[in-house]
Amino acid sequence: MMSDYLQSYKDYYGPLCNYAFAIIQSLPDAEDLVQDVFVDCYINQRLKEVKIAERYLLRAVKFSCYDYLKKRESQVSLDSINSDIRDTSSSDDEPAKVYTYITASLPVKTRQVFLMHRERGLTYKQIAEELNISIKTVEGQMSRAIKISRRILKNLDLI
Amino acid sequence: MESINSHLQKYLSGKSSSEETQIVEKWIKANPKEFEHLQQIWQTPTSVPFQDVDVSQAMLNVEKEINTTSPKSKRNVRLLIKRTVAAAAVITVLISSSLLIQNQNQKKMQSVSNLEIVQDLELSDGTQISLNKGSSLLYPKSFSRGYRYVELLSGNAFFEVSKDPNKPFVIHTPHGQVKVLGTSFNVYVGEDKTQVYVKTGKVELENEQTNEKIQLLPEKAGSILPAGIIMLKDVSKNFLSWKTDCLKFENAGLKEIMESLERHYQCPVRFATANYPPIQFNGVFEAPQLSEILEVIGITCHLEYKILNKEILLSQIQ
Repeated sequence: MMSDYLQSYKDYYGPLCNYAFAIIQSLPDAEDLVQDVFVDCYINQRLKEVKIAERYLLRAVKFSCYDYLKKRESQVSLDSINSDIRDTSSSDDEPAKVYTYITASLPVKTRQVFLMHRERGLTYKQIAEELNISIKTVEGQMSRAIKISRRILKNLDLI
Repeated sequence: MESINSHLQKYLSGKSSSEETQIVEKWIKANPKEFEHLQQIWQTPTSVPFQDVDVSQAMLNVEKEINTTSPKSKRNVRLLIKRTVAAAAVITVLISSSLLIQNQNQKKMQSVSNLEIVQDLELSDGTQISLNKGSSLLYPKSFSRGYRYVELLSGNAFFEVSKDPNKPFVIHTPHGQVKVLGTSFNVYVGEDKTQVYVKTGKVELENEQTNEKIQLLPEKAGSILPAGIIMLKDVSKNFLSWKTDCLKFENAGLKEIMESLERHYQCPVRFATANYPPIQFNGVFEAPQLSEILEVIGITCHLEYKILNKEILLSQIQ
């Protein structure tokens, strides 16, 4: 049933858009791209044969992104079809892109605490003061962030 | 008792006590790869701001797009092509869905499923497609983004893709993708494989499941199968037989005969045993009926044939 499908996978939509955005730098195009992946998965029933949907969806979005980038290059010669699509995903910045996906997958409060520590470089004490919560709560949220990161890394077959 | 996650976050933030550090370092020894990834994620500098998106609206868009590609009617047409049923209700559906280009408001993809004749159509970029009877194709009215794509769901289609270096042309099939720039080639989508024969230009085949790719030059052919992709060694002249309505066999072995028949008549052809008898068949058939060809090949090569559910089964005469 389509409504079941949309319900089951809609939580991946936001994180996938963030991931695509990290690669292609355009949010409207990232959203279009991820929506296309969702449509394709439904029509071609791709997720039925797949054990871990999250892993398939992320890879499908990644390939769509690199397709998109290739087409956006001003000079696409016959030779460019030669290059392996995987070469364009330099493994150097892959952690950064997966980081984007993981961050977007965190619950709102967890993400807030996580970004304050990671991006703004605030200490736990500073975070606790700014959000008017206890340091223990901050620690709890950071533990949760680790827990979710590990789960996603496992799903994506990165460990 | 705090979990390892709690210890890890302290460790990564540089806040763990010596006791906690010991526990973590023990865990790191047991899970080196996982720690490496966590560390990269924890410490790689990044400047990509978090983007908030409207999920409900997005899901509505997805739903709308799924509905306008009408997967149900597409599936029904394919099933009908496969069965040789003569029920009146079925004929009504055949007539109403054949040769129709469905044109709905806000429809993204148009579908062509012609059952009776060979049909030629032109896409918005000037690409010419010749679609064989009993074949099914989906294509958009216009190509909006930086690429052009269509979906060939079953049967044979001959493409003459207009050159556009900025917008590669991609054909999705149930088995994989065919990518071109400007070229002419034939795509056959069967039950379990997609076969491509290149006339001019260069074409790339991709199996999305296995990530294999090959490139085909003129007069070369390749097959996308569930297990991967293969370049066909002996390229039969019969790849375009449905267009010329002529089948030519020159010292053809059983495998080539079976493949040519499958592609020409768009139905699976199987042999009763795994070992194929060594056959060399010579013959030219103009506008052949299936039964006619099977009779001739049968007599010449000592083979029997049976047609069941639009599948042809060949076997040796005992």
